[in-house]
Amino acid sequence: MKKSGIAFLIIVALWELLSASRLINPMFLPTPLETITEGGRLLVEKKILLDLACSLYRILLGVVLAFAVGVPVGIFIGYFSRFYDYVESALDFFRSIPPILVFPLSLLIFGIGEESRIAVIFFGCVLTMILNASMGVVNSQKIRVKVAKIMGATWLQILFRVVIYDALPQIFIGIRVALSMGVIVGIVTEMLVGTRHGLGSRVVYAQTAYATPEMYFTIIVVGLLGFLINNLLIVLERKTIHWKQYS
Amino acid sequence: MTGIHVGHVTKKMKLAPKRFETVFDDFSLDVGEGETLGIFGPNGCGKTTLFNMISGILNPDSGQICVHGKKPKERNIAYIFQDYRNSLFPWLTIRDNIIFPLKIKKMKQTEIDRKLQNLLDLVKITFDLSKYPYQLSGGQQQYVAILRGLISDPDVMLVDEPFSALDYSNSMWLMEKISRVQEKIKISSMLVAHDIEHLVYLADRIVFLSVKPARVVWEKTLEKVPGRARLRFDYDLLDEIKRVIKDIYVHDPDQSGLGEI
Ligand SMILES: Nc1ncnc2c1ncn2[C@@H]1O[C@H](COP(=O)(O)OP(=O)(O)O)[C@@H](O)[C@H]1O
Ligand SMILES: [Mg+2]
Repeated sequence: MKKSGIAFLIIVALWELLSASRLINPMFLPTPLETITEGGRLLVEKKILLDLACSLYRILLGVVLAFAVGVPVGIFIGYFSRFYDYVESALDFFRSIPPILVFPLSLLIFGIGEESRIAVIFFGCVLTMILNASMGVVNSQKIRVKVAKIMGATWLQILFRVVIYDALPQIFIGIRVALSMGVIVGIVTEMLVGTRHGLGSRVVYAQTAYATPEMYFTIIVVGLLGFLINNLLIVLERKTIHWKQYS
Repeated sequence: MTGIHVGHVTKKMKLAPKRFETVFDDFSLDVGEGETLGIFGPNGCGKTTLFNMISGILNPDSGQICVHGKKPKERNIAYIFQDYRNSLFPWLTIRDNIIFPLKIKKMKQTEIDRKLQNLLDLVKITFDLSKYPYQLSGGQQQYVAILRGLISDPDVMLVDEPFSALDYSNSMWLMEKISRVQEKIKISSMLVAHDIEHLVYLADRIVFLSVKPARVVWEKTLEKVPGRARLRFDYDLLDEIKRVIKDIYVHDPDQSGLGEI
């Protein structure tokens, strides 16, 4: 924590030096102070908070939907591992498609409203969820399943009392990867087809208005968003999967 | 009636497509009621395969296996694995690990509590039941696995190399614990161990298996001291058995599978 703080301060100091030296056109690189001042204004006017809320809403909705569909499907595929062999290549194929590439198709289907963005975020995340959940199940401890079987557990009991727990660490990895993917895809959809509110739209708007400090501040906010989400998940993971670090 | 009856069992295992090896060929063995049978034999001779068949998760190709006169699937069998780390449930506390088999059977909570209390009255547990498996030592974890096997009043107990993954003091501790459990709970059981001392200490009879296809090459019934299982430890006996083991497994290249010395 302390070390990260020091690194952060050094980066800001370098930034200050670079912008104060006037080596770079201030149009491209505002000073940290300018950026913060602009950020303060955006915060006071509540503009950026609204953007943040809108972006977050889209991203979370897409990711949660992907979770709700992907995890059960992934567990199913992994549990009936004969199924896994059939779908593995197909999953890999779809995962190789950059999600943003299907945005135009989504626009055609859903129009330029929220749905098309959420659909693309969903597409970008659901495969990761499926893949990780099924991997977690496939790699779950066979001995524990054997133990439960000898005790006379039904397949449903084995699934819900053993296999899912064993798959939980991998499912968490899926959630983390999917969320960072969700942030990227969500922001890009906002940049491609502007919405009234959204961090991606704000960056594009700032560019057309030559408002570089605003652009810098928004970029920092997006970075912080991803950073915070990831750290929140790590804390959550340590709490729920307390046994992972020992096995 | 015998506790465990293995009669003329043949079992081939698949090595690769169309490549089989015979692990058991007309193999027979009996375990008396309340008897603890120690199994000694080289790696890969089929001890775990035998346990898998007795517990009903593997079927013999031919021959018969009975547990108290019935098919294994109709009996309640406690099977304890060598790998305690991967056989306990790390997301459950020790208490929930032990009562897991009862939960599976959808037993009422009051009944579960009663059974757990009965078991705890019978055997001593000196560690906190609200801890998680990874907070215990290896010996303690293996002990928990044994108690989990015992909570549902099994007809027989199969213990496969419980000491192999433990260090010396942990395996001594566990050996002491198992011996005390044996004093309180009398069931037919089979125990695999590579250390003959463990078997001499805990078993009523020891059988020595050959390399596969496994045969019983020698057996030794250990004198019983009524009520005091732990008095069985006898250094002269141990020396005698060690000499025999040397003759069978070291000097006879056919048994050791290791070739001439
Ligand atoms: N799942 C399996 N598939 C195929 N062969 C197996 C399997 N498990 C064990 N075997 C073979 O059966 C033989 C006996 O193995 P095992 O019963 O594990 O021996 P032990 O427990 O005495 O060390 C070995 O030769 C092993 O290669
Ligand atoms: Mg074995």
